[in-house]
Amino acid sequence: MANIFENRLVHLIGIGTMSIAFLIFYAFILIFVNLNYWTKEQGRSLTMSIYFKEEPDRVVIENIKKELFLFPGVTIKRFVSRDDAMKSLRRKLGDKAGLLDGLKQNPLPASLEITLSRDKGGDSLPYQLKTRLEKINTVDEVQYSQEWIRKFQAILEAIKIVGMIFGGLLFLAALFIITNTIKLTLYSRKEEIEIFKLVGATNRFIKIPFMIEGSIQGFLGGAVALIVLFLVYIIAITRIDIRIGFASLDIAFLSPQLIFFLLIMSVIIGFIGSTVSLGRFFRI
Amino acid sequence: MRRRIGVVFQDFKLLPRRNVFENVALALEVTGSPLSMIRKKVHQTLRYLSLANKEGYYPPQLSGGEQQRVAIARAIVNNPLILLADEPTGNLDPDLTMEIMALLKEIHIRGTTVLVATHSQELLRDTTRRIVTLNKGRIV
Repeated sequence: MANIFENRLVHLIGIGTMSIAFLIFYAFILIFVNLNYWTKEQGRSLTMSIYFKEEPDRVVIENIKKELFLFPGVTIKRFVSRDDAMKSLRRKLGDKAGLLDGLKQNPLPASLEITLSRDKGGDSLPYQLKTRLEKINTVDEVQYSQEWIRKFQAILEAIKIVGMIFGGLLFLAALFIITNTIKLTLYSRKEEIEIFKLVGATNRFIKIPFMIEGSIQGFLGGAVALIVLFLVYIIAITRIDIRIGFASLDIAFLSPQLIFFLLIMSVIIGFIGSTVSLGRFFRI
Repeated sequence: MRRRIGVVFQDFKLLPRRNVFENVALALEVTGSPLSMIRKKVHQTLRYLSLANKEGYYPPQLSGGEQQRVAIARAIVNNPLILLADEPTGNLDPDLTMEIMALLKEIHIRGTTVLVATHSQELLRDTTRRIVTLNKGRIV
């Protein structure tokens, strides 16, 4: 069927429009998925930072670790040396990092970040651990914040609900845009369709190539949107270092299963969009 | 039903982005004929209409007379019972008009019923066939 590739401009515009609609929707899903995951994570665990008086050597760290493993539900996340801390602060300050140049010494302490599992350790674990660790003379201070995270979670839950409503609306918007895009494509091919009818083609004969076309357009629109989203994601990840309070926010891209599902969905949207458009078109 | 009737129009109504062969083949494609049979019938019909050497050309590249002949080829490739022609010579100059009318006559002789709708008195003068006059949609 040669007519699928004719009139490339109309197709490209159609795919472009759909990509934008999908992109907005997918970007939203990406944020939502991460927010959701993060909320759950935060609910189950708590991050604690152990600050040292001086840069600790291997022996000191090993001793601390031995102490930590006496408690259930403790996971060592990572060690931040004084240099690491300075580098991180410089990065966060960005172009204002010059402010730090005046410092003769690095005032930032080294720290050990650990997470505690509330399920395994219980509610009293953080305080117990803090008191125990602060008795060790190489340790300066232990910080964690339980109250703060609870409040934050409430906000996140609210955002989730608003998010779902918003997501639903975006989905409908995408569907609407796509249906109209395909309708425009059909209108630009009106004469051609009439000639087909003249020659005796059945409605189904005419419709099927358009439905295939619509499905492919939907797929391409979705694929392009995903690629663009991925590129933006990569750029954002390498430039932004997000740390909220005591927790680091790792933004993950969509999982392969989710990507697969979204692509299938984009094909279905393309298919439904073209079917609906064709239905209206043929009733004229 | 459409497949036992062939239609020809004043403005040809060919697909501009397909070549001559493809335009004529379309009439057979819609009936689901196999590719080999399509090829044979289309070649045959185009030869009959002296268009064999124009198979790869596109409608915009052809003259008015040639385009109308392609339209006729498309209309008869399916061996229809009736051929309807709506002002078939309306867009053509006098010489071509005679050519096309002669062609239609030939097709008629070969066994197809040919029905020509026209406003042209000249066409009526030259024909010996039955004439049906319509006034405001009714036979007069």
